[in-house]
Amino acid sequence: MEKTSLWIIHPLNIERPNKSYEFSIKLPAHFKKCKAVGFSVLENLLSPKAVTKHFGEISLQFNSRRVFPVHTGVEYKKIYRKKTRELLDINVALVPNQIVSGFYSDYGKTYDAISEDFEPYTLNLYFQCTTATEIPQETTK
Amino acid sequence: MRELKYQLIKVTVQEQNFLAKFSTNLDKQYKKVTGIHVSLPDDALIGSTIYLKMAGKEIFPEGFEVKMISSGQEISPNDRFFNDIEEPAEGNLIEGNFKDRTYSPDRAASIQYPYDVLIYLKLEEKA
Repeated sequence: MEKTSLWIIHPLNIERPNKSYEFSIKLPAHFKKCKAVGFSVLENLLSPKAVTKHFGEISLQFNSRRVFPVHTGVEYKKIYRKKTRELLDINVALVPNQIVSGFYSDYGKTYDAISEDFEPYTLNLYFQCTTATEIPQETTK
Repeated sequence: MRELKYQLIKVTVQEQNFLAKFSTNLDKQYKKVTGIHVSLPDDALIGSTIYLKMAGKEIFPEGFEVKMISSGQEISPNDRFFNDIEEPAEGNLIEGNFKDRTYSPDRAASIQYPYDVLIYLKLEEKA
């Protein structure tokens, strides 16, 4: 039953504003495909100043930088009212033992409600993968 | 026509930051699980996490946020299910835990404890 997804969750702790954070992740060798990715912010951004849709951007490269499927803004949704998935389909065929790398750039838009200082937060990166071997044609570059 | 069943697991959360464990058996009359949906009593709880195993296989890892497999009531019941799953049912054990987590003290104040989390499973193919 290969339809069931395998998940990797990689947290990024964003401690300083307007800074880029590089990351490098080694996915398990038996993962054959990354179907989708998701980005989730854990902390509540309380200040009215912080109610901004985009507060950072992220770039992902797979297979040791040979595949570059995603460079996108990271959005914050204050109220969750939509269909189930918060995921972006990418369908990248994974080469075993290669790394996923990239960077996240914070826009400095999160403020503490009282002090109005920068409010640190955690960005969770979700990788929805599978051990299935079939690869859609459009994923190979 | 395929026969469907929706199995419900109710998990009670007693207090803030509570870790609620659950364990039960999937309906032995059905062959596979093809969908899952978690229903929460308040949107402020979407940062809560769920850990889930079926027949000993990890389905969602520790720290998996419920919002990935949840939705609002304005979504039709059929569309609420997370469908990227296919695991044998057939009486297998389903177990895991739900960890209460709210985003902030302000939001936590709106939560009425205890509350129930409803985990819906979509089962197919009557044996």
